[in-house]
Amino acid sequence: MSTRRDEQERIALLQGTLDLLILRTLLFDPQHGHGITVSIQRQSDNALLVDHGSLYPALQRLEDSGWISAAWGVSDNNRKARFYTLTKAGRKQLGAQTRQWERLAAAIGKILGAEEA
Amino acid sequence: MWPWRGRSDEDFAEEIHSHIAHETKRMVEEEGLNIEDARSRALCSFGNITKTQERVFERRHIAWLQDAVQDLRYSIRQIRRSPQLASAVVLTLAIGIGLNSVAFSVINGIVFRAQVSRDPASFVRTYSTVTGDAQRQFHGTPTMGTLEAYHTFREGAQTLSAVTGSVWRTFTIQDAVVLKLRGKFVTCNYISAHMGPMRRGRGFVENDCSTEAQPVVVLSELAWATRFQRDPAIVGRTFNVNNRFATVIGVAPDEVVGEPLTPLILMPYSQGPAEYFRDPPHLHAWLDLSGRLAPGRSVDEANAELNVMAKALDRLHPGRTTTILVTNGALIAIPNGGGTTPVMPLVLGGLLLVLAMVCTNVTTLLLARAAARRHEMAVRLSLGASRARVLRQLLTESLVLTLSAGTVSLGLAYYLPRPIAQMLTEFPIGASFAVDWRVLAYTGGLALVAACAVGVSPAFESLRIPLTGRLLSVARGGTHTTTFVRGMLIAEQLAISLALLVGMGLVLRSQDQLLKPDLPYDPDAVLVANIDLKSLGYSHYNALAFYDRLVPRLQGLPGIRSVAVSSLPPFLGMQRIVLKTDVNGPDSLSTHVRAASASYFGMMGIRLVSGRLFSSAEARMVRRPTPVIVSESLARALSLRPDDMGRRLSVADGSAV
Repeated sequence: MSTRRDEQERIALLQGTLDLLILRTLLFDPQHGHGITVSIQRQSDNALLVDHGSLYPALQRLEDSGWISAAWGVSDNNRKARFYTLTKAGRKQLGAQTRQWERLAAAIGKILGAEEA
Repeated sequence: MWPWRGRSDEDFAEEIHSHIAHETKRMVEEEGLNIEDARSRALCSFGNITKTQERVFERRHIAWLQDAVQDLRYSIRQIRRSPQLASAVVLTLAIGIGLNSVAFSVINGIVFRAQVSRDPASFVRTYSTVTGDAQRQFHGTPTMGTLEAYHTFREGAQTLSAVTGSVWRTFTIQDAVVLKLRGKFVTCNYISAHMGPMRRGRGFVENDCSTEAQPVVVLSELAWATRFQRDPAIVGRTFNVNNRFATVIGVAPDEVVGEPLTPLILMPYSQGPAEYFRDPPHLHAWLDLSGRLAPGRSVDEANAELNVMAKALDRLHPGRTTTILVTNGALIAIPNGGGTTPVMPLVLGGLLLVLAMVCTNVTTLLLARAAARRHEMAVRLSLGASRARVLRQLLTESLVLTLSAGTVSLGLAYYLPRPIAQMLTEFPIGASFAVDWRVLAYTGGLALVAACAVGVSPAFESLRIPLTGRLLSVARGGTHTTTFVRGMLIAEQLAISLALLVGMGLVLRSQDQLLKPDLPYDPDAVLVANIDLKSLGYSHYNALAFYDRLVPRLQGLPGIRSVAVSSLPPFLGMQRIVLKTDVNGPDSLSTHVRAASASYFGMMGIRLVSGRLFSSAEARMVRRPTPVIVSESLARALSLRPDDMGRRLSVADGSAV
């Protein structure tokens, strides 16, 4: 029981950021799970390491919410892969979450900055 | 959200497999590892695959299940909070759904199920359709079989382990009193093929069906119990049955063999009308042929085989075409459901209307409560519950109510059909009306539909709350829309009631017309007495003498205006003969016939268009040609002209107009 609770808290913690990053990654091109991981790692100069154990549940969650849609296709190196595409609702969600994140970051930044000063 | 929506485990496993493959390739290309190392590194970095998989799926399944359990608990709490309302709703719905379940259960028992007490899976019944045989005489339903078919199927059919024949008749038993029992002439393998152990004595053996055999009968347990007071010495007693002395050799269990009614008495078919055995065996169609499938054979195989055998028989009788339909014994398996198909939608449809009205009533009740619960809903919505979630909860509540009503209905469907079906007939019903999957599905389906019907509009009503934080105004009762919905409901109720009343009126009116048809005579002034002299052993001449004495005596009674004798009572029964005439070109057609005295015409208000009535001398004489009177429509069909009177029609055995 307690492990489930821990897990749920971890998901909650990640939800805001990981979901946002996934949506952002899919903004211009459909991408498969591995591609999303690689893309996030590269763009953050390997500062963010995506936990695979969280990535796929997150993808499933986003799909259930209707923000992304999935279809099987063939990847660049000729392998079968499940490609995720941003839906219209997902695009809206990305905008909302981005603004929210910016407000949060700014607020936290202010507090941290004030403390430092 | 729903466990059956979305992806399979396999689909997800494939995605992970694809991920590992991509990662392996990346490591080979970017980090220069060999394939094996890259693959194990990729697997390592992914972590526990099974656990990821579980997290994806369990999250969805568990959440759904948890929600459902929560909804259920909440509903039960709500129902407990207002037990009077809940019980009123459940009772009302139970009446509505129960009526439908009981009616469906009766129909199910009579139409959808083969009524067979022993091993219903192997039971088959056959229906013959014959064309192009003008000689064939039908006794009973036109789908019965002949002795020729019986013997051929019995000897030749590989797909059937037994072929039996039977036919319903009324048996007259003369003991201390005269008893009339509904029973069957059966072939001598009938009891061993279809019925369980005898209660007393023995069943028929092949010898009982030989033509020289002493007449024997088997009584049903019910006849033994009700007509003979369970006489322990019944086996071996001899009665006069249909004017022959027959010995009771056994008491059979009350079981059904393909029909809802149980015969009270069984007699070997060889004791049936002598002409059936004297004439060629293909002439008289008088036996219902049933049977048992051989182990491992199907109804379809039996159907195919019997049709091939029937074709072979047809070659012996040029022009005749026979089609055999083999069924599992259920009425629904024959075309038109044995005449029940048009009746079913009428009965069930009417009762569904009643259910619709009941649902409307319940909806009104629930709407009243919905208005009272708006405050509660407003609070819950303000606390962050999604509307969909609350809607689901409210629908779960109505589902719990209707399913409880459905359970009560199943109880009704278990106990009521038998007494109701028994009310429809005076003959003992041996059919079983057990609740089977069809009744369960029908009741369950109705409960679900009723749940939606009574639940949806109150649920939406409770949720029709502007969430701009004005809880107080919400608490203050009805809005414009509530009154609109209520108005609609009342209109609906009125409409359904009106439709039901009109339907009821039509039924009553047609019944009234059936009882008082537009007749040329006053039916209340006519009395009919059924005298069966033949089964009491009167010969043709004795019977005539009997009527000669009876008629004047009756005419002498005060208040009797006229007395007539006919072979069949008015409107009841029919006897068909084949008519041949060469009056205006050869012609033949089959028609109904009835022997009658001259006074029959006056009494029944039948006018004579031309010619004369029978004279009293003709009534007494047995000579040929016999005079006949034909109806106007028959004269038209045979293109007879008035001046044809006195010419000969070849009627079965040759008579004149």
